[in-house]
Amino acid sequence: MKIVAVIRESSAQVQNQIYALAESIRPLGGSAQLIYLRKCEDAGELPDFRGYEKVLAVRPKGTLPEDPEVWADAAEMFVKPDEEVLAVLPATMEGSEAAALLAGRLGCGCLLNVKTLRQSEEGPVLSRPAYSNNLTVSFVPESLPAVCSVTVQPAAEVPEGEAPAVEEVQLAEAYEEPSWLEDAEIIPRAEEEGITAAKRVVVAGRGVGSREKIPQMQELAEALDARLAATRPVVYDGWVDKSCMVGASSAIIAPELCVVMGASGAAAFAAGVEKSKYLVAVNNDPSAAVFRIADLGIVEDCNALAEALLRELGGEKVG
Amino acid sequence: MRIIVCFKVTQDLESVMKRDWEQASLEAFDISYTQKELNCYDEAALEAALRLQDALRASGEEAVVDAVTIGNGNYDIFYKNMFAVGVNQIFQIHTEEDLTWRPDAVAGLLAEAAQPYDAVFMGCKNAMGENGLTPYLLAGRLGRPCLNQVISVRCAEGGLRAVCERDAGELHATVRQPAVYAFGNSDTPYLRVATLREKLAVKGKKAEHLERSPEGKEGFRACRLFQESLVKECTFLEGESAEEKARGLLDTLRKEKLA
Repeated sequence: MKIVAVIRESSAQVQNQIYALAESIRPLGGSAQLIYLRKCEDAGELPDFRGYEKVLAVRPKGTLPEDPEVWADAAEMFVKPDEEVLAVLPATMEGSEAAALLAGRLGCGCLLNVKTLRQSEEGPVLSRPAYSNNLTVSFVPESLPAVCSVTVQPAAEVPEGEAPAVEEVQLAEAYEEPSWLEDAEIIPRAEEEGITAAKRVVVAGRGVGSREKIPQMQELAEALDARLAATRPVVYDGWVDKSCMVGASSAIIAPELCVVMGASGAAAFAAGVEKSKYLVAVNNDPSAAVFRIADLGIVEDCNALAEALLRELGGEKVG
Repeated sequence: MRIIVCFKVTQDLESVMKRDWEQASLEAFDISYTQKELNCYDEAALEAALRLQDALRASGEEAVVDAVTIGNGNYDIFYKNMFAVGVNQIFQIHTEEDLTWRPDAVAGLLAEAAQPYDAVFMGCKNAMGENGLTPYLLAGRLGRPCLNQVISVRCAEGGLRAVCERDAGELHATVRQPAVYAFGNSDTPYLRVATLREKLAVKGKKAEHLERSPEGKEGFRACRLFQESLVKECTFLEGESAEEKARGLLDTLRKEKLA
């Protein structure tokens, strides 16, 4: 079986995607090829491709729009329906969409948001979350080719070894907008807004109690030199802006320090913070599920603890 | 404009017993004792469809919202509210087979119902199977584009103006119909609640029940369902008061070189 990773040149996260996919694919044994779709004709330097056996850098004609259709179009040129191949894409929003579209064109099976890949006697086994991240379900492909999108873990390790040879390919045709689209534009998110990049995060859960308590959590976040984030219920109650939401369906974070205040620890939320290097959970219920993913647990009312922490710090900022 | 909303009635996963998670397997996993609820992403799609219907009617255009679900349960309690808040017709497709791990079979059943409609609204995934594929497979079967991670949809010149979450920001697109819209972290996550008067007005309305046999080519076969064991061991910080615990936390953070 051949393994082909397909990555599109995008934001600053692309180097991590390249490393993370290489890390995810490694348990399948053998080596993988990488198809790297460049952003535009005159794109600059290539990233580090260690972890792959061979790289095909595909240069478009003009600029490649940030459209999963285009991603799938390009991938289709290099993954054929009669090949014994597993195509692996990053499980970003566009990556998963491109994976589904590619599978549709190849007429083969597709799995999205795969967490782990491993080899077994039956062939590759792909596992992904189910039941709101409370369980894991494993699948085997019934035939090949097959396509999957794999969750990109933040801060993936840099693979060892030599950089592989890179072959450059130029696409002949320019991109045409689909007929169903009247007009479209992407309004970019400012980089500094992203909580995924924050080194320290304080997460407010519903146990905070009310919108009125959010400024205190913000103050605590500032005192800890951290960004304020929130669980899905807190965002949907309108206490905190949606850009701050963490969880399986929004941002998956891996900060050095994550302090979770008053969240029960529902599995879908836990999936968003469990990769934190050091996780402190504060909840007044000692049996709360959040303690199962924490390094340090504090059984206490989160507002009382926030108040005490702010008093203790007395205006001093840590970090 | 004719809109159909595909929705799923799921179980309340928050109230599943710990023992059931621990012992889960493909052969035995029964959580039917928990309360039923509308899948959260489908609920957002329903509310978005009703808001679009309101807007179209306010501008003098004809609009109708129908809904379709697959399942064998009694969902009358949900239908009552849906009819009362403005859903015109509801189809419930019954099937003997378990479709939890068969998104293509689900898409096949939905495609038959969705074919005559201009716009298909649905959630991006359901909380149980979580495959996230059904919108794409349905769009593929209908030969229509699929917009995923939709935040909002409104009327616009030339089509519907959809705002979708993208990795780099928000996609604002005007889309010609027909199309499939899969809602993610929507601006309108909760379905409106009907008043007693509205409920009384649709008292006699019933869903239409259909029997169908699913067909689909999945490509992947589910071979194991399990709960992953946790690797972390939580150390609890002791203390008599919040102040004492706060001091303990700051000391620990300093020891860990995090403060």
